[in-house]
Amino acid sequence: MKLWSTYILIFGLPLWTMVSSAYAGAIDVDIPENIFIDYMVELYEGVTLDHAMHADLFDCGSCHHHTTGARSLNDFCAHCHADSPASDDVSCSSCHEKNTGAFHCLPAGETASVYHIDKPGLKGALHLQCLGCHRDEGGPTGCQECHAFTSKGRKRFALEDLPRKN
Amino acid sequence: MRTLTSENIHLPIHGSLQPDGSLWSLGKKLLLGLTLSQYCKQVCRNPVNWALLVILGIGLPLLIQRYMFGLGAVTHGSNDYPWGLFLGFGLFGMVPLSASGFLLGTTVSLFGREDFHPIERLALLNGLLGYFFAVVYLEVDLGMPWRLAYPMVVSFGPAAVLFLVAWHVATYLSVQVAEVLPAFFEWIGRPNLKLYIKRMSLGLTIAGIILSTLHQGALGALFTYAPTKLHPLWLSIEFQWIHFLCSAVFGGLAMVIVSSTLIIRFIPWRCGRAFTNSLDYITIGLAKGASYAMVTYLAIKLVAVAHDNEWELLLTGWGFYYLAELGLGVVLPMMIFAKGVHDESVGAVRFAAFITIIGVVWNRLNTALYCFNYQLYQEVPHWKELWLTVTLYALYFMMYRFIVYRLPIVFNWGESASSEKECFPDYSQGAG
Amino acid sequence: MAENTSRRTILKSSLAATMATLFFHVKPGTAHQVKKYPDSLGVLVDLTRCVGCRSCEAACNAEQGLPKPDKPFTDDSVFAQRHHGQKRRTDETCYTVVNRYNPPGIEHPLYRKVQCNHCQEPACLSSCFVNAYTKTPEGAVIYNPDVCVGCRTCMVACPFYIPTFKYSSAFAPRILKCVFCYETRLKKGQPPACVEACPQQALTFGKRDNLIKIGRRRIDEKKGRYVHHIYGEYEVGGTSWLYLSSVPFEEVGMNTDLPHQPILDSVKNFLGIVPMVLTIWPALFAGFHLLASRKEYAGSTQDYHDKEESQ
Repeated sequence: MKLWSTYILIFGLPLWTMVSSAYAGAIDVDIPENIFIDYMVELYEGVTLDHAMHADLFDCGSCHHHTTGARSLNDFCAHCHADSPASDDVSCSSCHEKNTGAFHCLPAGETASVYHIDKPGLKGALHLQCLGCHRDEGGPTGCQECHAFTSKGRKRFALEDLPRKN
Repeated sequence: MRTLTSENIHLPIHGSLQPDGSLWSLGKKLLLGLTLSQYCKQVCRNPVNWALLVILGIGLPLLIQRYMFGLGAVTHGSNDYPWGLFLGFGLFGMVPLSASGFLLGTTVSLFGREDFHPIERLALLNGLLGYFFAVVYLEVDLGMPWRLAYPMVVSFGPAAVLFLVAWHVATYLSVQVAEVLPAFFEWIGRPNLKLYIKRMSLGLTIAGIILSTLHQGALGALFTYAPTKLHPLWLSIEFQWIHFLCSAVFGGLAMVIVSSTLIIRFIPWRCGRAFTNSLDYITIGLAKGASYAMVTYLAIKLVAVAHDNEWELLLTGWGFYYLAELGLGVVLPMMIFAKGVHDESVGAVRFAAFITIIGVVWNRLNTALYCFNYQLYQEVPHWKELWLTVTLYALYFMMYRFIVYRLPIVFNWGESASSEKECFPDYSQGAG
Repeated sequence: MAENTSRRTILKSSLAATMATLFFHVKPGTAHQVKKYPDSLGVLVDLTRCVGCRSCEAACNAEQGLPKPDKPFTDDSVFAQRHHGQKRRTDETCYTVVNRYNPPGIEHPLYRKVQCNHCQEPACLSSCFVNAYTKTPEGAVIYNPDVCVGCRTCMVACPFYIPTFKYSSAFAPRILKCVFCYETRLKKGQPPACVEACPQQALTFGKRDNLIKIGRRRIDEKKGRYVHHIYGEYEVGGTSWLYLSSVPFEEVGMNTDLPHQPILDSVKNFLGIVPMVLTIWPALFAGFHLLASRKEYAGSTQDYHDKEESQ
C-alpha cells in the first residue's frame, strides 16, 4: 500500500487499477493490462476490459470515484471524499455488491442519512460507468459490441432461429 | 295478413275461444289461426322478412365464428377500446330506450293514470325485450359468457359500479318478466295465474323505479372510472348518472311512441279498439312527458358544463360536436315535440320521437366510443362487429314482432267468443 | 291494478324492499381513504439510465412464459413501430414494453419502460365486479382468471392502459398484465425478472417508501439532471412503480393530467347515492301512490275490505 502512495506522490501520474472482482488478487502489485469480467456469465460471454488502454486515456478518478486516492471527478463523492486517501481495495466489486437481488438499495446497517443509500449493484455500476462514458466519448454503446451472446442468451432474446452474425 | 283475414273471418285470434266456442289449440295460436301453408305464404310475402333473411344469413355464421374463434375474430380486438359496438350500442343504447317499462308502469300503476293503460303493456314489453337483448349483446361481448352469473353467485365485488348494474339489470329483468307474464297467462289460457302477479304489482312497480334509477344511473357512472379518457364534455363526475337517467326517460318514452307507431301503421289488425282509439291521445301525452324530461336534461347538462367550468371547451372542435349532439339530438326534437303537443299533431310528435331515439343512441355511442380516448386515436369498428350488432337487433325486432302478433299486448284478450266487434275497430277498412 | 292495494300490501312490499336492500347491497359505497401499504415494495424507474436494450422485455417474456415475439428483442426497429399512430403498448404477448422518445433539447433519445404501475388504490381492482384483482401487502396487483367474466371494465378504468385481453381465445380468454412476478419472485422478497435483468440499474427495487427517498435524493443531488417530480408518488393515489425523468413527463409519453386522487374517488359520487335511492325511493313512491289514488280509496275502501275478507 505504501508503494502505491509513493508512486502517486513521486510520479504524479494517474493510478491504474482494476475493475473486476475476478482479478481482485492483483491490485496491490501493479496495474492490470486487461481485466476479464465473467462473474455473471449466463446470457453473455465474459468481457475483456482493456484496462491499460483506458488508463492511458483517462484519469483514474473518472472511473474509480475516490478510492484510488486521486481526486474524485464525481461531485457527489466529493462531498465527503474530496481528500480521502486510497483504499486498500480499489476493485469495483469491493463496494458494489455482485448480488443485484433484493433490497440492495439500502444495505443493512446503513441508515438513510448515509450517502451510500443509493449505491448501484455491481452490474449496474459497471454499465452506468462504462456506458455513460462511452456515450460521451464515442466508445461502443451497443450491447453486442461488448457482449457476445451465449446460446442461452440467444434463446432469451429470441435470436436462436436467426443465422448467427459474425 | 289483411288479405288473409278476409279468407279467415275469425282472424286475428284475440281470445281463448274459437268462433264455435271451443278452445284454440296452442299450435293454432302460434300460427295466428292460419294453416301452416297460409302462414308460410304470409311470411314470404313480407319484404321485411327477406331483408331479415339477408341480415341473419350473414350474421349467424359470424356469430358462430365469434364463439368458435373468440372476439378477436369478429372485432379489432382493441386493448385501447375494450368496449365496442356490442356494449356501446347494445348495452348503453338499448337500456335507456327500454326505460319505457318503468315509466309507464309508474304512470299507470303508481300515479293511477288509467288513461295510459292501453299502452302500458306495450311499454312493459318494450322494456323487457330491450333489457333482454341488452343482456344478449352483453353475452356476445363478454369474454366468458358462460360466467354471466358469477357476480351473483361466485365472486362479489360489491363496491364496483358494474356490480350494481349486474344485480339491478338481473333483478329488473325478473321484475319485467313478472310484469309481462299476465299477457302470457291470458294467451296460454291460464288467466287466474294473473292474480299472483297482480297482488305484487305495486311492489314490482316500485322495485322497477328503484332498480331503473340505479342502473340507468350506474351505466353513466361506469364512465366515471375513466375520468382521464373520456372527453370532459361527455363526462361529468357529479352528474353523469343523472344525465343517463334523465335521457333514459325521454329515450324510453320516444321508443314507445315509435314502437306504437310502427304497430298501428304495419299491424293494425292486431290493435285493439282501446289502443287504436286512444293512441293519438296517449302519444301526445307521452310527448309532453318526454319534452319535460328533455328540458330537465338540458338544464342538468348546462349545470354540468358550468360546474366543471368547461365553457371554453365549447369553442373547440369537440365543443361544436357536443353542441351538435345536443342541438340535433335533444333541442330539435324537443321543439318539434312542443310544437306537436301544441298543435296536437301526432305526426310531428312521432317524427320527433324518432329523432330523439337517434339522439339518445348517438349520445351513448359518443360516450362509449367516439369521445372515449379522445387523446388517442379513433377506433373504427370491424365490419363484422357492425354486422353482428345489426344481426342481434334484427333478432330483437323479430322477437318483438313475434310477441306483438300473438300476445295480448295492444289488445284485450277476450275470454269469450263474442267480444270481437267490441274489442276491435273495423280494421278491414285499413285503420291507421 | 291499483285498486287491489291495501296499506298492508304496501307495508309488506316496503318491508320486502328493505330486506332486499339489506341482503343484496352489502357495501355499495365504500368511501375510504387510500389504503396504506406500509410494506409495499416498488420499483423506481430512472429514465436517465435506460438505454433501450429491452433486456427487461426479454426477461419478462422468459419469466412469464409468453409467446416468442415476431422480432428478436435485439431488434431496434420495434421502436419505430406505430399502431394507429401510437407507440407500442402492452398486449397479450407482452406485459412490458420499452418505447423510444426524442424529446426536444437533448441529443440522445430517452427510453421508457411501460408495465403495470401497481397502484396503491388500483382502478382495475375497484372497478371489478367479481373481485378478480387483489392488491397484495407486498404491493403487487394480481389477477385471478378463475372468476373473471371478461367484461373488460378494468381495461376501461386503468388510467395507464395496462390490462390487455386475450381476444384471440374463444374458450379460455383472460386479462393479461404485469403481476410484479408475484408468485415466482415477489412473494419470496425477490425483485421481478425485469429489474434483475436491467444492466443499467435503471430499475431499482425496494420498499416504496425508501424508493421515494432515493428518488428525492437523486433529484436533489444531481442538480438539473431531473425534473422535480417523482411520477407515481401521487398520481391516481400513488403507484408502486415510480419514475424519474430528465425531461417533463409528457415528453416521454406519460399522462401528466392524472388526478392525485384514486380513480375510485370520481365514482364515489354515484356510489353514495345508491343507499339513498334504495331506502328513500320505496317510501317516497309508495307515498306518491297513496296521494295519487286517495280518492279511489275513499270511495272504495268499504267495498274493498269486504272483498278482501270474503276471499
